[in-house]
Amino acid sequence: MIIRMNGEELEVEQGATLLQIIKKKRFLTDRIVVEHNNEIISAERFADIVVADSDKIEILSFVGGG
Amino acid sequence: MEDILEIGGKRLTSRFFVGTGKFAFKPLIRQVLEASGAQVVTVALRRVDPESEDENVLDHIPGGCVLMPNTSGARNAQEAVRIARLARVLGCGNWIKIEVISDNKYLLPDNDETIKATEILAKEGFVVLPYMSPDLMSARRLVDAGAAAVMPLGSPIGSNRGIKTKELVAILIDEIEIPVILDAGIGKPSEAAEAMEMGCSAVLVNTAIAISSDPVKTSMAFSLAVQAGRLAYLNDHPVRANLAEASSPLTGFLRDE
Repeated sequence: MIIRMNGEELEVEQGATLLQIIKKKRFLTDRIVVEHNNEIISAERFADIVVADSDKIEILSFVGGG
Repeated sequence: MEDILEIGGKRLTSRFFVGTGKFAFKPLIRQVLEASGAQVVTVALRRVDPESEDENVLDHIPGGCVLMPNTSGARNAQEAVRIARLARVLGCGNWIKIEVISDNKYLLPDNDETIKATEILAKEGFVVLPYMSPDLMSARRLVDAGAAAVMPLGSPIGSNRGIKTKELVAILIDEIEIPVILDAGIGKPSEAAEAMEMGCSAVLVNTAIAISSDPVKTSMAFSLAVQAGRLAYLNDHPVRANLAEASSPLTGFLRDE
């Protein structure tokens, strides 16, 4: 199925959790913040959220800025 | 008696805030912060790039620093609020620099949207430091909205043009009871000293340090300038005169009569 991650289409397996998607992309869970369908998801819940077709996720982290 | 700047429950001994954007090498950030003694550091929040091998900016910020995420990218209050809420989840404190900009040419902040975002976020317990155009009425509204300080610009972000807004910032310093922190456009240490000497509570510098040939030495120069300006402000200002007044005695001259 296709979801949107950070504005781009991403193909994921049926039943994939947020944690599985994050791990597959090799993101560090303590350095990212995640929004799933416009809801902020705390790290403890990454394994609980199963994504569905057309879901929208945003994964952000701090970068240099003024 | 120690000269402490108290904001949002933090007692700061350094009035020099540093931005972490535009550094060519991230390890320079830690060196700059350690050399300058800066305690408050800004960062931005962006979508992660899975292709990037970059280390995280947090890895280069000493643990004792106060992190101040900005809401850069926000074009209105709603976007700023969204970014702030996301930033707070990363667990680096509740300070937020509100930056709402929809002008891509001068990057001037939208004071109206900034006021709206300040009100919402202050109610949610954020320590809000709004970046603003130095307008007194907007500053008063920011105070009423719960801002912990106001951050008027000196000149456009990244322009290094100095304190072009000096007269308006001076009005804020006279009329606003919360700290006034000059942010944006400071290009030289002498300008940082000038800001402090006129009564700013702190200054924030990013570009002038990050793009200099030696960011560490430049940050030290800025830090010393901030201290010098602050010391000058805390002491009497001499009266300015149109005519000269001799500094040495006017009697006992060695002269052939």
